[in-house]
Amino acid sequence: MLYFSYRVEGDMLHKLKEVLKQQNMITGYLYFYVHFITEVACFFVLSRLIGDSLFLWMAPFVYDAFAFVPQALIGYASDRFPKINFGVIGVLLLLLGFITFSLDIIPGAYTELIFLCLGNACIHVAGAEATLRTSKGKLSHSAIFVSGGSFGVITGKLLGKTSLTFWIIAILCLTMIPFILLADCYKTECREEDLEKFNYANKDIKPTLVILLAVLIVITRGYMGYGIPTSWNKTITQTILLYVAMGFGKALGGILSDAFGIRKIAVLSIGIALPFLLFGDNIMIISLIGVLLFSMTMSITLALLVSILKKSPGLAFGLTTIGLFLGTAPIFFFTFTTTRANCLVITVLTVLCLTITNKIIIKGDSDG
Amino acid sequence: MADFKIIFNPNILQFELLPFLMVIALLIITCILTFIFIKKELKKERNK
Repeated sequence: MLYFSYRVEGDMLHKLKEVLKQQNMITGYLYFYVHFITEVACFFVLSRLIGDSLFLWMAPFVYDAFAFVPQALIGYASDRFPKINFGVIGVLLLLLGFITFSLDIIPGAYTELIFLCLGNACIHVAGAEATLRTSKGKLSHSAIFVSGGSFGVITGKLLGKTSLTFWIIAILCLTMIPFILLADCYKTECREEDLEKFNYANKDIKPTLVILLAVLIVITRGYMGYGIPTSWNKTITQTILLYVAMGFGKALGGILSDAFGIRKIAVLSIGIALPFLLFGDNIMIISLIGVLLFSMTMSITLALLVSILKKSPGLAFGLTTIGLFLGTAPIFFFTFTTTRANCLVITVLTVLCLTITNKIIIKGDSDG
Repeated sequence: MADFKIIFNPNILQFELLPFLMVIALLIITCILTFIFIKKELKKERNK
């Protein structure tokens, strides 16, 4: 028995090592940094916004909309015009918004914010294109890229509350450019046919329906990401741990899917997350495990959408960000206040995600 | 205690109407265009 469990653990570790040694994982790491700095800059600004309660409600709402929603259109443009470097354009727009906000030189409260958002959107699309095109059908690259955001968000929020000069952040933004250009070098070596290796969608279901259902999972996850009650979250350290759990969850989702199979990881992570989310309102460690597990589906839904829109990975990525906006938008308008209501919502949404996931992911996918 | 609480302040529609409408317009236009692009891409995939 001991030999058997030792052998199983050895096999699992071996599979994980093989995944992490994949060629061109470098684009994931390069864009992890780029995504991290992008979110640091954006949330540095958001945490320094000053205004009345109406403005402080509207500004994050506008930010979410203009950062997430246009990515589908920018993604489509990036697919059609691959020679345009949306990454560098994004950095320039981000810097324009960041510096003009910090120096307060453009009239109108939202103009600088929108520059920041569009810069953010362009950088996201560039990251998606680079990681998806260089991954040869694997999820790890895009998962690692996406995970950088969670770490960046909490870092930006914390730095924004300090007296750190914005010029430090501006200089950090400039450091993204060599990372983007290097990632582009890897991207140009790849062929269009590499995207054909994304084959995770159930072919018995109409492609349009797969798209709708995958976006529905994203909407659900978007809502739960912000709507999960975390009464235990009272200190800065606890908030940091929450975002770290989200970040690790997003990265692990892709890495474990490549090692053990996307279907297995999707179903297990959503299913096992449920009790942790239900009982984690007052208990930090339980809640963190639930958040980590639930975050693992991020790269999985992206892979499903790319499996349908193989020639348009940018557009596929943009669909996930529209879903994220639609999922987080309700939180600006209402909240569930009792444990009973929250438990019901979490259960219904988790069961919904599990049912959809079970239907739309191809059966018998390889174990990586 | 009610299970559900609305936190949206209707005064937003009075004092911050323009940005609110911008968000709605962005969402509608993007969804329409995205739908058109998806139809085009799916047609290309079928004709492959």
